[in-house]
Amino acid sequence: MSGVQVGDEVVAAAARPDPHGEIVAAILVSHDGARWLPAVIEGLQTQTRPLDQVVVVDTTSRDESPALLEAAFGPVRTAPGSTGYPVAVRLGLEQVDPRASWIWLLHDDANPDPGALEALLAAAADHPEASILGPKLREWPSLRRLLELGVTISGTGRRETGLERGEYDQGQHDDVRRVLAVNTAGMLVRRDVLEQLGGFDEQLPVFGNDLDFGWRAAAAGHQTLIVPQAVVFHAEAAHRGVRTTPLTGRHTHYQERRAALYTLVVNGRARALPLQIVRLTLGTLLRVLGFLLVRSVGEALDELAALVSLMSSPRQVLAARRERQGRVTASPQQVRRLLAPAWLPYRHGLDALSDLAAAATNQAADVAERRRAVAAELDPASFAARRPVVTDDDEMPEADSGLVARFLTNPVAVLMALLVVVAVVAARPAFGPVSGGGLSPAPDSVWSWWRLHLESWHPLGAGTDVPAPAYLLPLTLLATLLGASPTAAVSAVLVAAVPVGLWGAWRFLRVAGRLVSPRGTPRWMLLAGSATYALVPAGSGAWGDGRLGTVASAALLPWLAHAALGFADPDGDRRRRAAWRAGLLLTVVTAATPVAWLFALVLGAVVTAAGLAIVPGAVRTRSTWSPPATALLVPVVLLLPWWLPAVLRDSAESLLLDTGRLPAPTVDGLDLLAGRLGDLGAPVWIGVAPLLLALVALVPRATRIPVLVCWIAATVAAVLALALSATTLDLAAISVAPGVSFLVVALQGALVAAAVLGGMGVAAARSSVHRRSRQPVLVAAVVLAAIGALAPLLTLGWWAVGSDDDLAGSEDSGIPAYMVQRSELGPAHGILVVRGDVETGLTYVVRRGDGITLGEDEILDTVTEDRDFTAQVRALASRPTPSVVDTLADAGIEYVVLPAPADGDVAASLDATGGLVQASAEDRATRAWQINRELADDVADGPRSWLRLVLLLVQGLGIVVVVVLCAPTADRSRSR
Amino acid sequence: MSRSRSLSVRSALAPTVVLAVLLPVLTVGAALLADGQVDDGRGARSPATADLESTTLVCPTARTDGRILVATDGDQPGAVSVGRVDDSDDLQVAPDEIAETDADGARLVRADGALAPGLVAGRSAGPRLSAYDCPVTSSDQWFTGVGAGATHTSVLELTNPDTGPAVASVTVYSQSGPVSTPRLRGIAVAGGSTVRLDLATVVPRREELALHVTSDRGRVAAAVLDTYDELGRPEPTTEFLPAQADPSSSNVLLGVPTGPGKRTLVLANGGPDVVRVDLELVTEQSVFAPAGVRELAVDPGSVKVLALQKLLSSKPADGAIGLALTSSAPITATLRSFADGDLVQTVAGARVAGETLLALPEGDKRLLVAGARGIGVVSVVGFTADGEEVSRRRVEIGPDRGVSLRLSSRAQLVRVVPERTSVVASVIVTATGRSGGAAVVPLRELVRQGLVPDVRPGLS
Repeated sequence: MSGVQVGDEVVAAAARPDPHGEIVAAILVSHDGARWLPAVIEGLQTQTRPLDQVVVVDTTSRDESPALLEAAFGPVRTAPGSTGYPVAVRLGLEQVDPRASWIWLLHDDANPDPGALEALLAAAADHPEASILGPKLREWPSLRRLLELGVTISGTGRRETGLERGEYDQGQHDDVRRVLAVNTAGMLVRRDVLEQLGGFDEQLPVFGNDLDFGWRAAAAGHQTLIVPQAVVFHAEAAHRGVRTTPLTGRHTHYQERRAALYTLVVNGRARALPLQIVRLTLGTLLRVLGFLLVRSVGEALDELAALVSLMSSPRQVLAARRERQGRVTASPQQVRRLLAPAWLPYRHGLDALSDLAAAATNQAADVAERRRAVAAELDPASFAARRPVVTDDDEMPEADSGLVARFLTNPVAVLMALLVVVAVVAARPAFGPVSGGGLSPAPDSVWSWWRLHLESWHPLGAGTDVPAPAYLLPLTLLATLLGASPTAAVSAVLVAAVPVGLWGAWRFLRVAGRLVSPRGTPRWMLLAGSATYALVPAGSGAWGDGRLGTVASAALLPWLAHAALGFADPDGDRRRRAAWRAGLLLTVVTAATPVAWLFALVLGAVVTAAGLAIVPGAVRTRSTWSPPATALLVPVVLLLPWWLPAVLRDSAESLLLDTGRLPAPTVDGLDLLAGRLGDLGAPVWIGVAPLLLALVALVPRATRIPVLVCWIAATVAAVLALALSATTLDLAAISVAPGVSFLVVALQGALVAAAVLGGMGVAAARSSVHRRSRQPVLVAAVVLAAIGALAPLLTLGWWAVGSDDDLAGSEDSGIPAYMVQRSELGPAHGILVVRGDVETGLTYVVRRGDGITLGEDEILDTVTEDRDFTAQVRALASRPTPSVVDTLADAGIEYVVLPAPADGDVAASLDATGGLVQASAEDRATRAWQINRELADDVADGPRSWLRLVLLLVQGLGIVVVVVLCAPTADRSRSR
Repeated sequence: MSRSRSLSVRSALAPTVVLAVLLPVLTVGAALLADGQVDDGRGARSPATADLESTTLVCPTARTDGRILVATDGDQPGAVSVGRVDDSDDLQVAPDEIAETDADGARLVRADGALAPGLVAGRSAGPRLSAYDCPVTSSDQWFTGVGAGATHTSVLELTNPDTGPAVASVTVYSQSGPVSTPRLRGIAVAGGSTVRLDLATVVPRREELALHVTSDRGRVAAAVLDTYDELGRPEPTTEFLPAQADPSSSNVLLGVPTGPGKRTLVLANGGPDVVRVDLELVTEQSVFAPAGVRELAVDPGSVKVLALQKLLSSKPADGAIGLALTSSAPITATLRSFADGDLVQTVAGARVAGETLLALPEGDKRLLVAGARGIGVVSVVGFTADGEEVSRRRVEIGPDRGVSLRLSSRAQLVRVVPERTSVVASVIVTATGRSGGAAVVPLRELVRQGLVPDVRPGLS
């Protein structure tokens, strides 16, 4: 007892008649609570059932709260700043009147309603079996939203209130009921129970001590009730991080998690302890991953730190468990009923996933909307602020029509679905194993691909350390995802390319259209444009020739363009995310067609130059140029294991070559404009349609500037194609021009975009045209629309019905089957295949293993010629001696094959050589010999390259980092 | 006011209009100029030639008194190996000299390195002189005038000089058309071995035959030993029948021996059409078609036999050194002479355009040259076996006549160098000893170089 005022209160209380004659003492723990204390003090002093004693414990507040409290309640017990709540309560208990039978615990940010204590005591009288009573906690300052009505804990340690977030108090939870625990703010507890249970656990200084206390009380057979009639308004200062103490620091999350884990482990049943620890560890790791995925690295580390901290103090845990075991009287089932249901964590997990999915897909406001919003904010009178009047009735979804009904009544959606179905049907040669044209067969097992990617020396040909092509990693990951089947990955790419391209083109054109005009593009125009673009891989002949890289990059290019549109976003964080997304997509596109990076670089340079000429100030700011620069740098870093060793090993030609088997189709003038690869593909006159439409698109003045931007991209593509076609790459087996198939696709894409945007201009200009010239303009518009619609239809028809592609289920290599089987035994069983004749020259290939499979052609094409080996083969063809045969055997050749038609002179001289034994072949015109020597063992061995290992590590880490940085920003408000 | 406004509007539009014209022009222009055609370097590359590094000549079996004569056209002496595949002896050879060894059976003469180009070997046998120029292996050759009957019979000898097995096939043509002989298809000749096929056993016929020998696998050297057993003679006479590499529309057979006896011209047509053949006589003065010789017609796939002793013993044919056959399609031809009881085979010779060499046994020798395509000069030098030069002649040759040069009978190494034209040449050797006999050995182009094909890595 202390203080004049307190003494007066005590006397006053003693004077008042109390039904049960119980003395209630309040313990108020305060730390820097000056903000709330005036209201709290008033609340305490205006209680209808006055307090008999108020003990204040202050943990070294730096503000004026000690003064306030001293003025209200008398001398304040001061504790050090690092004192936790349990210790403070214990200190307060020492000062409580020995006759007090009830302790009312209070926080300095919890303002009790005047009738709170009376209601609590009334409930205590009604329920004499209850030892702990808690009030209804409502939010302060809004005063109407419910915070807590008792808490329980779930299996993952989450504090469950059973309430919705921000739920308004409408009397829906006004029953007095038993709960596991109540918050210490406003908890009314019997003094003997409090002392019997040993107060609060001092291992939990700030958070979670209420749950632990309640659990211990329930285990010891005491009941905890919630009394909704008593209301306390709680500001939750500590949890929300508004108040930081030396105990919490800034890492409230760490403290909360540690408290939760501790509570679970310490109070759980002994039998379930090992399982629980395993479950908590796994759960923590999952949460860490989840936090990393949403880029909350701090919280992820907090989770991990909490787990580590708990695991590193086993003795304390065991001591706490022993202490509790001594007091357990209630049966585990009784306690179990009070805990949260077991399925609750999984429901929370599902909710989190759906939040993430919603955040990813529900980007309702795209970049156009955001720009318009920012512009409208800046200038409310501007054009951007004018909302478009929605006139189309079918834009407004019916209130109660289902998804299917809406789909079926939307002709554009139906047509698009039909298009996708026909495209999948047209892609039927790609179902199952497929090879031919430019596509080598896929290997049987995905481990071949992993090995090819990870090893630094390949036992191919004469053995080489040229790195595996860049597209191998994405393809291998896809194959691993699709059930470890390379065939499935190849088929998936070929079949899904057109639908994926269609979707991407739709998204891109829609956003581009809305950037140009708030109305956006008419949906029919969107459909025609995206269909025209999506069919470019098929119509150009790349699909029929099996050019996997071209097809994949054509499908991904519109997604890349859509991500690149994000560079125009007004929000800096979204620009950065657009940069990472564009970088990742550019990496995949560059892996499929290496020239894409060069195109992006040149286009970026041109756009930067244009920007510097037009708006120099904007371009110079860092947040404008750094996202595109980041997007350009990401492929350089992520593709390091490919391009750096390629340059170092003198096979830098692969940086400019298209992927797939050589020779690639050559592209010249009209092919480039019509979007065709050489002679393959649909008839040329179909492909000229985008060019014509894009030329006409320059006419309408309203959309001229966006159309010109598309034309800039087209010009860059054409000029780059000109520059590349002027160079020649001299490989060992052939001389080729660099691969320009990506530029063909990009050119078509730019033309299609220009056509669509110009179409918008035509549609907009229709109304502003003079009456005289309306008729011809209308006719012209109809003709253009017809051209635009016919082109994709004809291409689709050609592809589905009339195209003769080179793809087939399997290929005949002309080599006897038993030799192929032997060569699969190992790299020492190589087959030397010699084609041609003496008059026109011979070519040779060394075939090892299962032949040249997908991913190996690019390596072998850029290997520099082994002149010694060529000299040996020349000697074999002209003047074979046993020593030549020995050299070949040392190089790991077991068979020499001259496929049909075999040159008689070469065959005769090989017949004559000692060491070569004639081997049989099914085709009489094929000649074959077996080298009758011991096979060399060390053919496959080569030096391991540490550089490549390091680069692979960098690539792996880089991919994880970039993928995490690309994830959508989920708007998560802190859930309580 | 409005004019200035419209002017300013126009000037404000100008950049976009300029770009709207410039960009499409630039794009279309750059695209049309882009030409991805590149010489891919996979076109035909002709082979290089390099000196032969190894030559193997195959000398066939001789009945008796077999001798092998080896000479080289190079200027370095060296050793050649004579013998079988696994058992051979070295023989030292020097330029302008002949190295001789006695051997009756089939022998391989091998030279490596500098001696390989310009290696020649000759086979001689007794008792009546037989001489034969040992050839290299060939994948395709014709033997015309082969017999498989009682009087006239031949033995086909196939030798495989390599260690690996070889397979050869023989197509037989007779006077009544092609003969189907399954036994002669796919004859396996093991490595280093010789297969001798007695045609009288394999395909017994009384007609004249022609053989087309091809090798399917490996390398095979073919030789035919002809035996003629005329009634009333005490013993049969044998002679090697040289091969003809390819049928030709123009065949020149040089070497008509003197002496009474039959002269038979055998023509073989392996093609699908009837061939018309014109016969001309070659003398030192002219090449003329004798009167009374009609145009011959040879049926497809068959052999035609013509008896010529009357023609060749007639007055106009006096001094004839050979026959010239011109045909409408390629044929092969052999003149078989049975002079003084000795069989002499004269086969259409191959064209010789460069220096060539023959190693011959001792005996009277005449070099017969004809069939020149233009005016040229032929030089001939004869050396004895020890390298002593005993003959040197140089004579002009023209397309319309033949040349017959007498060489010293001691000359065993005969070097013939045609200049400015290609010719057909043979040497007719007449033995001076007791047993006598004659042989005609045609000259062939020496293979000095081999083709080295262009080899480069190929696309998979």
